[in-house]
Amino acid sequence: MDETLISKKELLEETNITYGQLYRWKRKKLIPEDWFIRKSTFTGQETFFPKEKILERVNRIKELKEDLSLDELANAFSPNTKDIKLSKEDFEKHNIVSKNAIQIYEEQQGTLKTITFQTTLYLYILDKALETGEIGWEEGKQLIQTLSDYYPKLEKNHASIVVLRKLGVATVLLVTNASPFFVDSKTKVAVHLKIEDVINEVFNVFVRSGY
Amino acid sequence: MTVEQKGDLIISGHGKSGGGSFERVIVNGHGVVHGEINAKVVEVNGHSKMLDGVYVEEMTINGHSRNEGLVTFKSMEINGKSTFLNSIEGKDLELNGMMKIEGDCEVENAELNGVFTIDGLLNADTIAISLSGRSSVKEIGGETISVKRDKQSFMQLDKLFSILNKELMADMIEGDVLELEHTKAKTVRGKHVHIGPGCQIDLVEYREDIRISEEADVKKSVKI
Repeated sequence: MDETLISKKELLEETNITYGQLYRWKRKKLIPEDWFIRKSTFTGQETFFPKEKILERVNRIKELKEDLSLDELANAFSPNTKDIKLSKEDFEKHNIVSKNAIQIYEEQQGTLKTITFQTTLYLYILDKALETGEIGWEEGKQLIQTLSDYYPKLEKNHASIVVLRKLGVATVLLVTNASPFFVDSKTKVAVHLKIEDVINEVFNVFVRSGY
Repeated sequence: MTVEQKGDLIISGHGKSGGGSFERVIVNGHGVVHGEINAKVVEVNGHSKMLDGVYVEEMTINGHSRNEGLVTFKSMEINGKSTFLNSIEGKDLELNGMMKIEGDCEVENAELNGVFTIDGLLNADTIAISLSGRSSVKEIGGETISVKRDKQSFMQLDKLFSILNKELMADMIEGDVLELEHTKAKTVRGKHVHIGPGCQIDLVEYREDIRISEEADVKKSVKI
């Protein structure tokens, strides 16, 4: 990985935050554990962060801190966002996903009354997959079914959703990111989405619409 | 909405339980809980062993306890000796006695009186440590961190036996306001740093001001 890193010292200087704030945000899981990269330097142990990600996150926290309490913020950033619940009307009003996506979801999983973070995530993935134009109605249903059956069983978010197509038949795969995968030349990778990235996008959408 | 009335789990004497959701979990004597515990209050008077996660608002340990899973709480008071094989997370932690944590300790306020070993990170807004024996933490991070020796000394024995030495060992300490005494650390980073008597520190990095006691040994200090 060739990400540019920033040391903790530089981060504090650049963003003008204190150690106390940084540790508090870490504790509240506003900053993911795996962004803390420990390295030994000639002055001893130092902590580094992926520069772009951490600067964006710190700035967003600082921006939002004025109108949200830290715990509310934590709910907005933490992957265990179980507390977010929206009514369907609110959800539709914010145009988070397309109507088609909601319809496909409802056909597969039954009518939605309230929408949790998890559901939003599924809907969002479905929406993104539909947007590519590579999958259709039936395959959308397959996708939702795979996600709702198997995604909760994964412990971490480091997974990808993949749709393969061969001779017009689609297969949905949920794979962990640990290993790459290869397909034969007749098979086409129609959709490949990293769930982690989607989660971040969904957070941003949620935060922007004020949840 | 209906609110379900939860029962209590009370073990008096010797007992075992599978865990579950309770209003109160009270162990008087010797208790082993195999499963996860969700409760408002957990109180241990005697010996307890909890083999899975504990999610509780108020936890008090008077005696011995051993927790193998993650423990989350609002307030925890340990009067006695506790061992945690995993991390603990909560709001207020008060220790009067001995504690060993093999994971991290993430709380808002930590008041640690006694002896402790933390293999991971001790992360809290305010950390007040009063040492009564040799303690060690891998890393400490927070806003206000103070380390002192407790007052009483038993016949000055600590001067004779190093094992009774009241000192704190840490790899790294980072915070905004630091007041350290009798601390051995490799790296200390802070905004306002006060290095008191008995400290042995390889490197201090400070952002605003520093005071170093004459009885302290600081190899190198740098303003950043």
